Amino acid sequence: MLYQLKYTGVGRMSHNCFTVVIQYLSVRYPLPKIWKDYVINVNNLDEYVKNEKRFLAKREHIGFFKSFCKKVKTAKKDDIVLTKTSVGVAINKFTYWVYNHDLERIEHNKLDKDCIIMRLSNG
Amino acid sequence: MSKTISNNSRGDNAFALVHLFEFQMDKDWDGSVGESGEILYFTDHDVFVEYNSIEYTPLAITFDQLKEDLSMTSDSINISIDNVNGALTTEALASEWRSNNCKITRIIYTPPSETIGSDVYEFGVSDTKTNPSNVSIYPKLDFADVTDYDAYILFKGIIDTFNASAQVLNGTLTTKFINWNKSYPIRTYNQNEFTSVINAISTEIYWGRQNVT
Repeated sequence: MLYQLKYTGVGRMSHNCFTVVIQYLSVRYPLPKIWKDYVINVNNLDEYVKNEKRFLAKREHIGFFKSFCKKVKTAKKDDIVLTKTSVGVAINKFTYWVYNHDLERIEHNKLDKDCIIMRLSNG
Repeated sequence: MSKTISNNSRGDNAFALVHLFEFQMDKDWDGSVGESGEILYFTDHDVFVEYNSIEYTPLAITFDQLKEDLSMTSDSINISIDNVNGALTTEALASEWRSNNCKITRIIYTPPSETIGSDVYEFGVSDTKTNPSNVSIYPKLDFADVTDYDAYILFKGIIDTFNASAQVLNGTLTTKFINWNKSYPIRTYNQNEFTSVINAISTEIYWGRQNVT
């Protein structure tokens, strides 16, 4: 189509999909302050960016959200969408948005069977 | 809303076309679709579209050409929608779609140009704000920001039938004229239909209608 996407935004080393989701959720819902060895502080999320590969490889992003979310089958707005390599937020029951680390922009994707949908326990 | 197309959407050689789809469904089976969430909004655009404060979800959705003629047959459209791994089927089976209203709106518009730094995008950009303080903005085309566009209802009718696989949901949409009450046909007293004439008259039925005495 005719539209082109912006390539402006946050610095590559400052954010990844996880930190963007945490920042989005933190201003809307109460999140746990500490999980395992991690201190959840939106002002100091560089830690997650630096440890991104280890965090994802150990699937700790799934464990993290499991600690305060419940797994659901169908998505609704603001549900958390987990894949093997990313964390996003549901827009509705069909799509979710995710921060593309490489292109430094937010994209939307279709939900598919590989997505794990988590709903905030207090959401 | 009319089919009149103004010139402003056809200036130069730059205009775009987008379709908006609305499907009503009766989730609580109460015979009405007034409740929230009982209308599905889709678009065949590649990003979300906001029109009249309603957000349309981009899905792979196609329909064949409209047939319009003077015969008594109903116009119908065959439509094909990405089933999003069965999510649409779940919606369809949890509600009653058949005989509910559907609408296809066509919008012809001139994409607004936009300048970012030294780069001029003649056809605009999809606004994807990646500012962490406002990250909820995914790419979206908001017609509140588009000054030159024409919109008209391309098709308005009812949902007839649908079937689905995991990948795609196919449906047939017909015009509301299908609901016209067709009168009992004029009798010809042709010998060939003698049997059916006899069957049409009984203690309960008289000429195909209820026998009211």
